Formats: sequence, structure tokens, C-alpha cells
Amino acid sequence: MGSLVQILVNGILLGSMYGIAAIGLSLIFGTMRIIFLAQGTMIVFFAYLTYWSFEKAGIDPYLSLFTVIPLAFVVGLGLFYLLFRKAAALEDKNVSLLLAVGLMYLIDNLILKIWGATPRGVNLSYSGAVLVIGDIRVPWLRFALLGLALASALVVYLFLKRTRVGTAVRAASEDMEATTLQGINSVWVCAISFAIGIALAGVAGVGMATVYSFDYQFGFIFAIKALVALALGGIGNVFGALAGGLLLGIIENLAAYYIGIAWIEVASYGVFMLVLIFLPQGLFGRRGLVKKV
Amino acid sequence: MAAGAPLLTLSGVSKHFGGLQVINDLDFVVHESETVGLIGPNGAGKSTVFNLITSIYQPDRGSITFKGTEITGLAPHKICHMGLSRTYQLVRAFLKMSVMENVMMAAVYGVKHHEQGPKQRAAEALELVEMSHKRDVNAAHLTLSDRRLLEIAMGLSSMPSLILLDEPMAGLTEVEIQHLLEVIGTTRDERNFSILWIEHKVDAVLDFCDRVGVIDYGVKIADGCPDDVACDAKVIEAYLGEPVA
Repeated sequence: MGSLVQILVNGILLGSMYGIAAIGLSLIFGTMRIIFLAQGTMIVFFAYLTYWSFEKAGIDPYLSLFTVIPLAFVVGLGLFYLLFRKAAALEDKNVSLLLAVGLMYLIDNLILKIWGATPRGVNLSYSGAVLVIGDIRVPWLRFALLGLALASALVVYLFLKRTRVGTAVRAASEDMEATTLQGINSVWVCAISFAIGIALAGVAGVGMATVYSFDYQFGFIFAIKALVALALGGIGNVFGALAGGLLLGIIENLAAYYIGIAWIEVASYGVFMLVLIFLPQGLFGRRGLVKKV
Repeated sequence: MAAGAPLLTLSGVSKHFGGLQVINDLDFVVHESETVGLIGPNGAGKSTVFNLITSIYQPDRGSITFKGTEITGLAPHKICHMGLSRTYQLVRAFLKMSVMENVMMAAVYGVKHHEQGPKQRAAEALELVEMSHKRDVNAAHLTLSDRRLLEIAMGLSSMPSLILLDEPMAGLTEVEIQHLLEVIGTTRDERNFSILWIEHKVDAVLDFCDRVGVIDYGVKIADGCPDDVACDAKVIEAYLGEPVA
């Protein structure tokens, strides 16, 4: 019993990273209608920045959140206006998708050039600190990741529900053309949601730096995991995306424990496909959300 | 009602899709404080005219001016800021949001620098269409007729000088149509905006409008006061077919 609880706890903590990444994907998908495949690479990039500022200047990763988040937001705005501004206005969304693929490999190789191929990680003085409740042992840093994920979901949710800009983003994800005729600049709305998506990649990057070791190729795998989380949760729902991430983490840990580590990916992609076949709207999406042709 | 200066002017506007000439050399004017109907059989190009005015499509030739400014090719949101709003035949209010959220959004973004704050404009617009008591209802739970009223309120909240109505009566019952006409009539008298009204149902437009234009196969075949247009031989032919004899 104790071990099952431990597995669930580990799964939730692993999944919180997927959750943050999936929320970012969901926001970007809402307005630009593409799966932003470079999201994982952006996360890895910000993990490297966190690592770098820790190595060079001794800045604690959690302190660097205050610089990484605004920086990521600005990077997001810059990338949008440089790369996606024209493509996002096209009816054919494949152009944006291909741009994202190009961006992914470009940044992958940029990271390789700057930091080399050796896996990196941040070793903090408190990395070993563990929270013990009965039989359950949880490293504090992983626990903090869950906090980051919950806080990210809550902030994005409040932004969408309570702010005027957030209302415009929600409207744009329902019907972009009608939104522009209500006086909303479609380029601006896409840019804002894209920048927030990249800011979330910044949050996830800091989280990744504190817990994982990472290298330049890790981004694509991570983007696919985020995509799986998003599909499990149902696109267009902040807490669904987070829950999808947590669920994916639990599935991976259960598979590792009960079937074997080699089966992790088989199990998680198997569940991913089963969900898409039987519940295309995701586990937490409303039924009938996905229209039939 | 006495019409003022020209507000919206289309001159020589043409648009084709592939080999199909949808709009052909169209000249059309809407004056200040004027209610104009634009009628025509199915497929005559009525909705295309709206999409050209709101810059969803770009015309192949011709120019469109609003308040004396060329708006051909201007971004749709800028045209909205200039005081032109529209409704859709298939309502496109945002169904996942509440009535008030819809109207607030239109009020906040629809116009720049207005002396009245968006909250006040949104509340007034809901008041005008008699929807205040449904402000917290989700748009997805409204009847078709209420959704139409909601779209009109969204338009009103940006204080437009011209509202484009795209078949607002389609799919409504007689009672609902009466209510809609009353609401549109009283708000128009209070706010004194112009209306360009596309309609398939000819009789309502003839009763309600100061002037009526008729298009068929993208060509304007009549333009004048409702009584004259109703008796025009070309118009009758467009709707009923060529006379047998």
C-alpha cells in the first residue's frame, strides 16, 4: 500500500512538469491553431539559461524565475513578430507548424553549439532535502514543481477569466474572424497568448533545471509528452491540461513499477492512443466538443 | 427620415471567386441616419458585400469609403474602431462566454477613447435590447432570437455610426421578428445610427427601410424608395422569374 501511494506521489510530481508544458501548448493552440512543437525545446533552452546563471553567477534557480519569466515573455513576443506574424494570418496552418519545427531544430543546434552535448543539471545545496510523511518520501524540489504547476494553472486561469485581455484571448480561440470584427487586433491577440505560452516554457525550464539532467535533444521528447498530456486532458481547458500532465506522470510511474522501466513509453503512448480513439475530446473535455464531419 | 451626408460609399466595387463574378461594378451609398435595405435572391452576393465592407475580403476593383476615409484593405478591427459594426446571419457571439462578457468585450475593444466607460456602455446596450436580466447567462444557453439581440447589443456597445445587419430575421418566429423590429426601431431612434440591412424576406425590409437596393447576380438592378422598388419590373423578374408572355 505504501509503495502504491509512493508511486502515485512520484507520478504526480513528475507529471507536474508535463502539465506546465501542456498549459502553454493549449494557450498557443487556442489562438494560432497549431501544436507548437518547439515548446519542449524552448523549455530546455530556459533550463540551460537557469543552469548557466547558476553556474556563472550562483543565482538560485527559484530566484531566477523572476528574470526568466519576463525574459521568456519578451522572447515569445519577439519570436512571434519575427517568425509567426505573417504565417498566423494564413488559413493554411501548416506554414506555422513547419516554422515551429524549423525553430525547434534551430534552437536544438544552437544549444549544442553553445553548451555542448554533455547532459547538464543543477546541483543545489538542498537538492537532497526530502520530505518524509510516514512511508512516503518526497524530495522537496519535486514538491516545489507541483507548486509551480498549480500556481501556473491558477494564474493562467485567472488571466483568461478575469482580465479583459484574457477575455479577448478566449474569444479569439472560439472565432478569430468574429473577434477581429469586434475591434480586436488578431495579430496582437495571437502575440499575447504566444508570449504567455513561452513564459510558461520559462517556468517549466526553471523547474526542469532543478530536477532533471537535460541535453540538447531532450526538447522534442518533452514536447511530445506535453502533447500527450494535452490530448489526455482535452484541448482548451487549463486545468484539464494540468490534470492530463499529472495523469501521464502517474501512468509512467505505474508502468515502470508494475511492468518494467522499458515499458514506460509503450504504456503511455498506448493510453494516449486509446484515449484518442474512444474519447477524442480528452478525459476532461465535455462530450460532443469534437464535431463529426 | 431625412438622410444626411454620405456615410458609407461603395464605388465600382467588383469581386470574383475563381470564374464566378460575385459582385460586378457595384455603386452603393448609405447616408447618415438612414436605414437602407439590401435585398436580392439567394446567391445574389449580399453577404459578399458585407464581407467586402468589413475587409474580410479585398475587392478586385473599386473603392469603399467610410466617413470620407478610404477603408479598402484596412484591417477589420480598425474598421470596427471607426464606428462600423455588424451582425451575422449565423450568429457568431462567443458561446462559451456569458452575455455580459460578450458585450463587455465588444465595449472594451470595439471603440477607442470614448467618454463613457465600457461598463456603462455595455450595461446601456443590454438595456436597449432588453437583455439586462440575462447578463449572467451563458450565450450557449440563449435562444436564437436572444443570440441575435445579444449580437446587436455587442454592436451597440461600441457606439457605431453604422450597423450592418445580416439577415437578422432568418429562423425567427413571427412574434420574435416583431420584438426584434421593435428593439431595432427604438434603439435607432434613440442612438440615431445608420443601418444597412441585408434581408431575404422582402416585405419586412420594405416596411422598415427608408431606401432599398436590390442586387441580382452581383449587379445592382434597383435602388430607391421602397414603394418604387416593389413595383419595379426588373425586381419582380429577379424574384419571380421572367414573365411567361
